[in-house]
Amino acid sequence: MATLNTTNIKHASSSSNNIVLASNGSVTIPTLTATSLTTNTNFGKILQVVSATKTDTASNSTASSSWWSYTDSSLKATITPTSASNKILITGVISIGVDSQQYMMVRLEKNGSRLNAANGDQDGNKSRIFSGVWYSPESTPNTPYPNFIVQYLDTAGDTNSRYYNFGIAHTSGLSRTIYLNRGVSATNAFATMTCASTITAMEVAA
Amino acid sequence: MPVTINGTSGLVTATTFSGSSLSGIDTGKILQVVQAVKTDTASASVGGNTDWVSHGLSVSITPSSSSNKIFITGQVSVNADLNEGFSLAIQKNGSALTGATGDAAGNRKRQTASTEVDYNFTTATIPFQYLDTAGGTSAITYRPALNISNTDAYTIYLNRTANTSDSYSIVRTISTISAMEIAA
Repeated sequence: MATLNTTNIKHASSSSNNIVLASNGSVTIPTLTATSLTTNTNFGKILQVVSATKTDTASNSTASSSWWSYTDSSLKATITPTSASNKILITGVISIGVDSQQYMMVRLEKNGSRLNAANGDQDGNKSRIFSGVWYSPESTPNTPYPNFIVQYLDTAGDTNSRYYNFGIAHTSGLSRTIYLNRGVSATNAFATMTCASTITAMEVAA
Repeated sequence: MPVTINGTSGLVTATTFSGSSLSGIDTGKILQVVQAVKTDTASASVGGNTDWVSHGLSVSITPSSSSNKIFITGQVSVNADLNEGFSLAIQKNGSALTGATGDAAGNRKRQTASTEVDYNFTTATIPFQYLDTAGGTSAITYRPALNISNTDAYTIYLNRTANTSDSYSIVRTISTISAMEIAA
């Protein structure tokens, strides 16, 4: 291996030194472009973050034993992984109302379909969900409730664009109206609130 | 030998590199994370459409670039001496973060999240999340502004129940708020 003794490297047309070599091994380069960098320094693992926040309201007449897959762009996180082996951390909060006392269920979906690994295991005809809660509002509830939080670490699997969204359902034997970001009450009053729901996806380097 | 250059592979070895920018390599987007955890309790008489903000739960972060994002996530554990609707709005430097609240709709209160307190012997948890734009490089303080859906004043609690029984079935909980700076 040949040794070049110098302290500065300058491009022929540059007015100043481009690379400065210090005696202690430090190299100063204004802009370093490379395809890989191996170092003892830990770099961060979050490569990108995408988020959608829905601030308006929505409603849907949802039949018994059916899911309302909410795939509107206002509340889905669309992300394109840079590597199939990377992970995708999904986290979100959703505010829900319903027109009667029901068990309410939320599941995490990928491209509008249930993401099996993020929801309960298959067990006969039971609903596979992320979480559920008994909704026992007053007769005309002002408050969107319950408030679900969803978190899951998915494996990218490929580098295709995909979106993550919520699926919502009730356990009534009848059709029920489900609300997003509002309660049942339409009273135009301070105590009747509108809320926001959000979903975020972060690509995590493998 | 402080610096070596392999002419075949292109590998440059040095003990340190310094410079103002690096391109072509993903180095991670989370630049800093700060968190506040409240483990003690707090209470206040709140009503008449007043927000409760002096509960002691807030987090401050100083972005390194105004174009970076701030991801805010947290949860509050609440109760009240009235079974009632309960809600919060994320505040940024003392003002509601409008993009993190529901759209305007008449006289309705624009909030980030809500729940209903149905019992005095257990707390209700309200989670919240939002991806904000830094907008500047000065310190930013985020906090939840808590509200009860009643025009009369009632006592609301953080991290404890209204029920004061000294019993195993009565809980003490925590509330948290975190902020992460994300490179644009």
